Amino acid sequence: MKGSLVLFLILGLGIIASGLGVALLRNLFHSVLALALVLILTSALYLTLQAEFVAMVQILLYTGGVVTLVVFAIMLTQKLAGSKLTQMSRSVFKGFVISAAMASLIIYLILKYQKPTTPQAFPQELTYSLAQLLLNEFVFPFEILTLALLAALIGALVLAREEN
Amino acid sequence: MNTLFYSLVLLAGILLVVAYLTWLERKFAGRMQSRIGPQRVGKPWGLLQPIADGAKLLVKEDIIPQATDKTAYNLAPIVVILATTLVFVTIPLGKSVVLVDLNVGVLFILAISSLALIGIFMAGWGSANKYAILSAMRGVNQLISYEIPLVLACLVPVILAGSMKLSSIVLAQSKVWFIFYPFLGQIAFLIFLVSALAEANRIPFDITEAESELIAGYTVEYSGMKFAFLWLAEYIHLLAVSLVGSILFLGGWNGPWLPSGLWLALKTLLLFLLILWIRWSLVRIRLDQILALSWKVLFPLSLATLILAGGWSFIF
Repeated sequence: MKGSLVLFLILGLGIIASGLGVALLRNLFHSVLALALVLILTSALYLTLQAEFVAMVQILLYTGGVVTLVVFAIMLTQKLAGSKLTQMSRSVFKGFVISAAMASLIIYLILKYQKPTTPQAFPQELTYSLAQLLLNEFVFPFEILTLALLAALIGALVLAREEN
Repeated sequence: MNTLFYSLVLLAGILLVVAYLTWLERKFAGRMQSRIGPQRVGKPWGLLQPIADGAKLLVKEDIIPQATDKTAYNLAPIVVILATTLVFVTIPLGKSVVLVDLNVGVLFILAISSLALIGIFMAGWGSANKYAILSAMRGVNQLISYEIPLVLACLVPVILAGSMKLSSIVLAQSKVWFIFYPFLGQIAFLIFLVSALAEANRIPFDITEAESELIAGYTVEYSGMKFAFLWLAEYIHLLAVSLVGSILFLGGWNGPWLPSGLWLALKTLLLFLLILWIRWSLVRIRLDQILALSWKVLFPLSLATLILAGGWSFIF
């Protein structure tokens, strides 16, 4: 087997295992740690695909930002984190069916549209060309996205503010 | 094979340098307080003190309190030291002396060093100790508050150099160092220094281990080698901060006459001494003051600096 394939398999299995950990671990804090592991391994997967910029932003935003926010939430709910939680809900069977259907759909689509076998040639300065595209050709979608994020931010502020 | 050899040398070098930085700090602190500092171990100037400290910590018993969350408690020192040491992968130590000169070097350093936060929280939470949890909460609070000004300040050299590669940033400073750009350079450097100090939990921002209220903060339940790891990580972080600061703002290895590595080492030492000087002359400030400084002063200031940097690189 090729080295990149072995790396992909290791990372993929790691992601699946830690993803299961997020869902199945009974300690809330351990679940969060597993989530951090999922995000880090995903960024490693991006690195194997030469997407350096996306990988680093993934770590910076998700592991440094989102996981930290979840940690904050845990700090404020100390009672919950100390006790053992059951992660099973009554709809576990339905959920299993839906995710199995989802997984088979994805596998079917991948198998159907599996075309390129050799990696495409990338431009040398990938991050540079990404920036060029983002700020020239796709500047309006980019700005609209930032506007949407700003709206979400303000919405969260309004929702969180106490009414008086 | 070459890469492996270089990594091993790098790791050993970091540990040795960091050991002697602790010695330097103790000597410096001693002098500032009209003492002599370590003197007994190693005849001239107590030079073997760090070795003795290391040996002592190695042979200490590893005490694990019963109430701890074993996984988090045991993994935390590894996570912290990994996050702080991995940064050195992309930091050049001289002209073309670097393991991997990443295209996204600055981003890599910021991203990886933000992982230490998870380790700190694991240590605090896993210890199941009031002081440790309180300290970890403060640490997380402080880290995410200062992450934004730090990132924005680091973006100023990136904009001016037009690259996130550390070697290109140094190359762009071969004529004028970024700190000498009028206003722009000084303000950005100041924001960088203040936020980096806060991220490293140093005085005046060391509320995470405020000895008088929290004993030793998140390291309180640790002993032996695990404690040594957490404690070493702090110094490795400081070394990284000094190195990155001298690369981003002080022109890196640029300088006349002396070899490139020596210039970088001198600038790093200068920055480290500045951090020591700050530590041993200022007092700790309160948590609310720390947060106010970040959100009300540094954050708007760094945004303004960023816009200024954009204008500068647009005009010149």
